Amino acid sequence: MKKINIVTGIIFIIFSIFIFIQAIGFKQTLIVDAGLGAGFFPKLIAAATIILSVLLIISAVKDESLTSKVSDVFNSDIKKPLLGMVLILAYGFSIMVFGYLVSTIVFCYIFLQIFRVKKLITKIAVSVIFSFVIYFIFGTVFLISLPTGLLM
Amino acid sequence: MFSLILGGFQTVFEPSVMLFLILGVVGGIAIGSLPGLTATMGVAILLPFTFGMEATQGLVLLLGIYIGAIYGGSIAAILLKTPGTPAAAATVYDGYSLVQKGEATKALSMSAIASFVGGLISTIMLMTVSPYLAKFALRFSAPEYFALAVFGLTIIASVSSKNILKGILAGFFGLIIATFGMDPITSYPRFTFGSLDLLNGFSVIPVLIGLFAISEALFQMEALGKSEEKCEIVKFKKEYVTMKELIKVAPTMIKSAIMGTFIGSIPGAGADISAFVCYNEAKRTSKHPEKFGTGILEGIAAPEAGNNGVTGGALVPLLTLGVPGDAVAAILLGALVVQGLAPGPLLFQQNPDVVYGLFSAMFMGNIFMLIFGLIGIKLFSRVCEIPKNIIVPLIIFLSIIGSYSLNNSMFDVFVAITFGILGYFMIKVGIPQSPIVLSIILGPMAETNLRKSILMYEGSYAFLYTRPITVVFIILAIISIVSAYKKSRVKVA
Repeated sequence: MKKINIVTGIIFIIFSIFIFIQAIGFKQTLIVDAGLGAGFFPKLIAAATIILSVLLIISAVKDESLTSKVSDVFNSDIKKPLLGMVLILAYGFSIMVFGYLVSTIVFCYIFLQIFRVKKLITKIAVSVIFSFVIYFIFGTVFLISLPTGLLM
Repeated sequence: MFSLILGGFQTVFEPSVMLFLILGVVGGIAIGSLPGLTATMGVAILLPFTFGMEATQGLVLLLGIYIGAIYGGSIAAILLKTPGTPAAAATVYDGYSLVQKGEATKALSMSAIASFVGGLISTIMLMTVSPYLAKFALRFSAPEYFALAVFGLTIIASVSSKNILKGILAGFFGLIIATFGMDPITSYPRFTFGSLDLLNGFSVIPVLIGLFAISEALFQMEALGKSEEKCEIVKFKKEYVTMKELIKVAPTMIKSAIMGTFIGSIPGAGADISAFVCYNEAKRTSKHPEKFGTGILEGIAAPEAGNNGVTGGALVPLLTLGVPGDAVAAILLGALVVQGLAPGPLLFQQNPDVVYGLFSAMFMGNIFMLIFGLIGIKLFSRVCEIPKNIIVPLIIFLSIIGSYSLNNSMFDVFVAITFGILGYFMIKVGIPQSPIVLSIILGPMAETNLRKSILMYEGSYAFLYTRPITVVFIILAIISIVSAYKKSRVKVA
């Protein structure tokens, strides 16, 4: 059970079954009844995805050389991207609360800190200048107002 | 037609449009020459900047980036032995060998000229072929469009991954995502789970930004801070490629450019595939195949003319049929739609000014690429000195702001983040991303037209074998799957 293609296949099967079951619940609203309601296409695609996933699993079981181990793909390299994901999500929520400008300056600094940009002045300059330039381009040139958050 | 072409050039020669084209080309070369930043990513993160512009300005900027970035990829490939974009991977072999001989300027100028020839020939083919194709496509009705979508999807799936099953799975995943939101025929809300934001389904642009920019940025984080990347460039002579040498490689360039255009016009097959196919073809038909890889000019000319040949080719199906030829074309499709223009055969009738403006922009863009490519060799070779640990966070912030600005919606921001995270894991398990995006675009086209066709034929599937154009597309679809499957079997055995 440690092969990446097997795990991938199983995840796709679970997802497709969920989609299929949801699609069964769609009400038939078409006047012409040829099984062509809203659920027709999703059910078709979900069924095909299940078949494909099974094929992927079978091919991985039959020939192990076709797939790598989960532990090889998700080794310790994944730590930084995982941290990155948490930060990006936090940044998204922070925009909602504190608005674009404050959040971007703060999170830009945090990112630069984590990625070992050494000089303090570089970190501050990049995060402040970048944030203001974008704020200016979108706000003043393109007239797209960036989120101000709940506090403003 | 000539008056239309002339009008197109008039549009491009407007100072404001010209400025954005030059900006795009130069920016594109810089983006391409940074390893890790691909043409697709560059176009995706800069797309939101075009929302506030006029249609031609915005599109010209994106086209400039596209043209520039595909060439720019070769700079890093030649100087650093690291392709700046996947499309330049084949250029590494002979490009870097020339650098070791101290001939970097020769290699880079060869690459710029080959890219120019590739781009120019494909633009000319785009200009001549697409109006006729558009006229032909006007005859298409629902069954033909369904078959075309199926053909597009099978090609995408079969060329985009080493493992054809994973390619097709990615395509089907995209199709499922495409069904979220209101059913196009009955308006029944599907998979919205009571959310109003989901009624219109996922917007393509945040999904694109997530899959191509955020996921790639996350992937780049793995290597950050691990070991400082080398950016040492050996000193090199200032000798450009000579006329005599150019004449010698001209047949290779022209052949690769034409092949690149064809490959580009097939949905799903992009610049990276084209570069390898052209390199192998040049090697196969060469009188001295053993010299490939040792630093000969043909080894640069073939992949570079081939990958820039794709730029024009990818626009052929996009403009004439509304089917993007590669991932960048998919983003351009998004840009067109945002500007209220629907790509497809009718675009040629309703907005010929835009179409011919794009043609002329492609033309001029390639000329600018040649000029800046040649005079900027020294400058662009220093781009790699920009530290990646600053670039990667900035990509993320640009992605987030970009996805917000489409609809002023935080929902879109979280869509982009979600697909970014999903995309990262997909890179890890070897599921290609471009089929997902292309099927999100082709999915509604396939679904609507399939259901319309079945309704047209009163519940029968006879349209699949009674309409000649449909039959051709279906046969092509089957051939593409079968041949890809056979090829994958041979590789394993």
